Amino acid sequence: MNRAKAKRWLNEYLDGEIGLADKAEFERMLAQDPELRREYEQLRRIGLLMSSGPEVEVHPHAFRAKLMERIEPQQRFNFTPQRAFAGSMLVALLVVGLAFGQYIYSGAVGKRPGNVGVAYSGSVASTSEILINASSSQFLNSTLQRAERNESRYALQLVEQLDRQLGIYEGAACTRGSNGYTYHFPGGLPTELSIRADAASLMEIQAIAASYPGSGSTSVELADGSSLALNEFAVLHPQGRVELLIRFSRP
Amino acid sequence: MADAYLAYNSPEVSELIVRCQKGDHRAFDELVSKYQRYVFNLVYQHLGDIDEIEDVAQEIFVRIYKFIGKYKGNASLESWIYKIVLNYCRTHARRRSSFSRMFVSAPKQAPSEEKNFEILDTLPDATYDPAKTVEQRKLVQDIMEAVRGLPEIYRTILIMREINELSYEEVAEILGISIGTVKSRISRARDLVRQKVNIA
Repeated sequence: MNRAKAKRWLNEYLDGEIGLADKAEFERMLAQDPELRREYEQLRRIGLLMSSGPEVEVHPHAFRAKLMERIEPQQRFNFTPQRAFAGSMLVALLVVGLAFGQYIYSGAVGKRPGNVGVAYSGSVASTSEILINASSSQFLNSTLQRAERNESRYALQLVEQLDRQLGIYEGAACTRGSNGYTYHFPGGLPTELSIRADAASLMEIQAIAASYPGSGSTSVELADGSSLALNEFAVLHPQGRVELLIRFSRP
Repeated sequence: MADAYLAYNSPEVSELIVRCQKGDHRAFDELVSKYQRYVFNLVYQHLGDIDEIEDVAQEIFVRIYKFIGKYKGNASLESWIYKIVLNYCRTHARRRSSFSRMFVSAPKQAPSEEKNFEILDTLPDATYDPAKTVEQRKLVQDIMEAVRGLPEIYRTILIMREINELSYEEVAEILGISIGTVKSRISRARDLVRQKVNIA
């Protein structure tokens, strides 16, 4: 009998992975070969002792609670249809902020930051899909992450307000294709967005926009290849506040 | 969608995976609850009784959370988690060893908070034959010391087989090697331990 074969069978036998025919032959060998039997007994004992070592018992709640606390902020960075759309609105807002910062600035000096409010006007586009390609989604993600980490509670408030108030996300679905992500909004897309903020808040948004060189786009690409352009806005001054109206429409 | 995971997982686990992949926070909490003991034990078995067991387990679960979307159901969730544990333990061990090289002996940090786990001795009580239990405990220590002294490729595979009782197929899948290589490494690892430990 070949020594290498005996060795292979010995290990397969210990691990319960030996074939039936080989098993019978190996057991005959064990009975006849005291040296092989000794080796088998030693290895079997080592295995048994290894598996009888200490075990770790985890306290059921404390570890989990600590972990979930850590994970929660990361969850906010997840790329979802809601966040993607809200993100694209935020980018559009940043662009507007940049373009009209100077205008807003004239009314902002000396004012303290205040609340930001967002309202959706109700008009919808003729399509119910947005296509966000991979590089745009990457850009939106990094913009949101930077905003969440560092600079702007106002930018965040805007995203959250958009999430809450637009009300278009019921039943929204996201499919991943080779070109990127397509978001389906069964209720249609909003084409008009009214954002209320006081001047100091918009100033801050403008400052954030300035920290993202080359950021954003003034349009949202649709799944049919066309796009919704950011082509209208209005800046109003009702009672010391600034109101910004953003309107998207087909080019 | 859960059907894609049924080949290697129970319907309950498949459902949990799908919910986690959709970003369901509560589902991930359930997953942690289900696998925390498993992960702690794997970390303990592969890295030994180190101060950072809990931190390492935390990092591993953060990775599971980040990458659960990439789980495709080509192996069981346990095997997939095992891979993440092994990769992280390897990185951690490398980091620890370069830290030790830099500072000669790494300063031992005092535990800053209460531990959320305990290491339990699973050997039988010394009620029947105390001398035998002490001897057995010493033997387990000697064996584990010999196992920890093995080159990584043999140590890992021996732990996977003898302690975690994984089949050759499971070991091969997790380590990404052939079954033939699994067999030869296990055989070599056993020989090395047997040579180091004085066992009757």
